[in-house]
Amino acid sequence: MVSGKYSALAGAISREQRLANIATNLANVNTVGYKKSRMSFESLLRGEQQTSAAKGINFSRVRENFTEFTEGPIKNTTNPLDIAIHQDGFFKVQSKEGFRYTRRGDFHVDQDGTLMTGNNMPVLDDGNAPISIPGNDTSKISVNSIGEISVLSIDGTRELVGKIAVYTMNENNSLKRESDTLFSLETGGQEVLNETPLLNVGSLEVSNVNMTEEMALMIESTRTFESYQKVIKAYSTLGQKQDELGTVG
Amino acid sequence: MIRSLWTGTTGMNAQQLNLDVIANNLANVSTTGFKKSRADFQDLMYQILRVPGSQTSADTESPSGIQVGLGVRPAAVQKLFTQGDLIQTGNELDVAIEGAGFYQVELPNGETAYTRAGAFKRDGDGRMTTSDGYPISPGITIPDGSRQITISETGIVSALIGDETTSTEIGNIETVAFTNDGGLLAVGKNLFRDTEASGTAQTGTPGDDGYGLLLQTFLEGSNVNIVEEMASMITTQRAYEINSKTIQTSDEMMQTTNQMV
Repeated sequence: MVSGKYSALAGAISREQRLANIATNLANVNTVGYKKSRMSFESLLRGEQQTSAAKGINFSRVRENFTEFTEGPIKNTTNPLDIAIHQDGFFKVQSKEGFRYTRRGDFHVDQDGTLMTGNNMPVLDDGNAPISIPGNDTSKISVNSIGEISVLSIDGTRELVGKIAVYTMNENNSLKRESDTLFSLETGGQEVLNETPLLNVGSLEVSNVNMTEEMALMIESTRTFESYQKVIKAYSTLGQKQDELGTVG
Repeated sequence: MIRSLWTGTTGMNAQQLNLDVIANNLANVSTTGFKKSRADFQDLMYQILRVPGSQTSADTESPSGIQVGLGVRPAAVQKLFTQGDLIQTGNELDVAIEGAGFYQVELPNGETAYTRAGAFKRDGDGRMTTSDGYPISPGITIPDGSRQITISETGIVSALIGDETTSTEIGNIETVAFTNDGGLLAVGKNLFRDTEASGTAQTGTPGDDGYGLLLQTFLEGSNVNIVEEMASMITTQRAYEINSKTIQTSDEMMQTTNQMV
């Protein structure tokens, strides 16, 4: 049994998985609040020689898939309900499955006056309650840099109607990626309320995917994949030659 | 894997940052009191394949060794505090600083920030504030009925109040200087904060040694030089292009390798 072909196959499969990961990142190069995901590989038997302890078994596989939480570029939109969080922190939203965290700040007010994210989930305040905004004239809403929402009335008075909560995590690693730029908190993770966050109102945080980096990774993964393919092909030719051995005529 | 692929990537990323800085300079070409930034780069670590001076035989040594660089990284994006153009506006609350120094501004949270944008306004309480409504400190309140506010070049603010014919002194504008202006933290809204690198603010009177004079009815424009920025933009674009060529070439070389079998 020749195990080399399986080593090559393992390499090819892990590169293919990385390509899928890169494709996801590139697809979200303009998604608001998207955080790029990264992959690291490991060898099953680190540094063992084919001949000794590894007994010819030498595979590589995906070690982990993690999220890079670096801040993305801030795009100015001048929309008063577009909010980007400066530095660390997440908005807390109510999804059907429970509380979720996101950095996606394209908010709007729905017909019931509730503050919603762009993907239609209520944004929560520090008491985990949705924020409702009285009146239906959104042009009178202003959010200040620590997340307090005020409504301007006709006579020029300002009324404070709620405060958007911003949480930081004790460990960003305790956030589990979900679809739609949401993250859930795994057990052991701890949310910490930030009373005075620094918000950029009228701006959105765009995805932190760096196209150049992804392109280079894509080239590297493709070419490595190709090399593994060649190895597999060579083994296949070898097998063919073995079959031909001993055939008569 | 082939090094040049990642080296080219660092080059492209560096030029991207360079363009980001240039774009911000150009966007603020007519921002009052704006100070341009410049990105500085440095080379990344080197992989030493052979140490210079290593023995090549009993009595010879390698004169240069083999050191392969791995690319570039941004080292600093620095603000340059050269004087901007002085623009005459005729508005009595526009005050430019000619020379070194910053105005002190009180932020809503009680902390102090610094600015060179001297386009002051009066708020509803008569205080002298910045365009964002942040009062300057020490605070100056312009009494109701003030006419003809004059600000001397050493910062004495006086006004004719009501129907008086002699002017009354209503306050003093103090400016501050820093050991290292470049260490200030730009926080947007034309404001700077002090840091460990800038040193603490030293208060002074305009016109003292090391403090510029004030110039009423003038504003300091940005110190961005469009021609210079355009030239940087051209070199940046070309550098970006040539780095993408490096990546393409690396790709083609790997392709060649893969086609050997």
